[in-house]
Amino acid sequence: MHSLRIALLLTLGLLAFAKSPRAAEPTPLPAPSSANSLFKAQSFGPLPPPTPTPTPRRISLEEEEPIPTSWWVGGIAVAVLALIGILFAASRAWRSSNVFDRQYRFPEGDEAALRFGGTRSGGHMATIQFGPKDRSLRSETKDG
Amino acid sequence: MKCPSCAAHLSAPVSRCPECKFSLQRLDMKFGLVPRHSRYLSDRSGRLPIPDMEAIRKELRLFEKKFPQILLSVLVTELPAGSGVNEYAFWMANRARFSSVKKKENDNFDMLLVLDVVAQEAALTTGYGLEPYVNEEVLRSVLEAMAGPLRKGDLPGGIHAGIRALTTKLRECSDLAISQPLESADL
Repeated sequence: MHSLRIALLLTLGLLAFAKSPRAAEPTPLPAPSSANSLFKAQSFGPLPPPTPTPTPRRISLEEEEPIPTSWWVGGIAVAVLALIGILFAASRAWRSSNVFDRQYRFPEGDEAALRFGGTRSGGHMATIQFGPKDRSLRSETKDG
Repeated sequence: MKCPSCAAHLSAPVSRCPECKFSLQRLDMKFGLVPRHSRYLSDRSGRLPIPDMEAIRKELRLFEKKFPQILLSVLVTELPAGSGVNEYAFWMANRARFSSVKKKENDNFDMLLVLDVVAQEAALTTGYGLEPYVNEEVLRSVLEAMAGPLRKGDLPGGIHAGIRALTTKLRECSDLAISQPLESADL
């Protein structure tokens, strides 16, 4: 009995819903229309032409030109002259600095025999005359 | 030994020549004040061109590098009449200060070359320190090497020849002095 009551109530409820406005068919949506006012084709002008496709660079595999012979001759001549100049300047510096020679020394002797009042030299000397040949040439040695 | 003035033979070192009374003090009265001079080259005659003087000084500096004990000074002068180049060389060797270092007696290895362009005479003298190793023959040979260019009037050439000859001779004397012991000095 109870179940029959519930079924009866559900049936009455469905009947009532069917008859209500909600159960009625929704109002149809308006037909779509184009948005002519929003979109403008090429608003910035015509499209620029496409950029040309770059051609690939071709690497030349040909042999380079050899250095001219005159360049070789001139370069060698300049290098030789520069080397000669450097050696010349260096040799002058080496010679003035006594690089290629040694030093020569004398041992200190015994006490010197002072003569004629001289404390530094005692008159140990040689003399010559270098006058004209018509004069009598004499080579005198004066040893004090 | 001989007197530098009169060449009188002396048997022992004396302070004054018994013959001519030669001494350094007499030369002080004769020559007076020591003239201006340079370390390497002094030209009192004005006959050496300046480029030649520079070249001679350069060679003298090189000489000093080879022989550090020896200062070789060159003096070109015009001596008055009656003044011998030998006396003047002896006086300058004792009174002049070519070196900044005070050297005397056997510490003095300096040498002096004096050229009198008036009398056309040259004298080469040494200090006491070099006397045992450089005899008069060596000095004479150096002067003879100079004589050729000097007689031709080539004063710079003569000085260069003398420096070269002296360099050669002193090399031999140095090697001999080192290798052989010093004998009694023959003065």
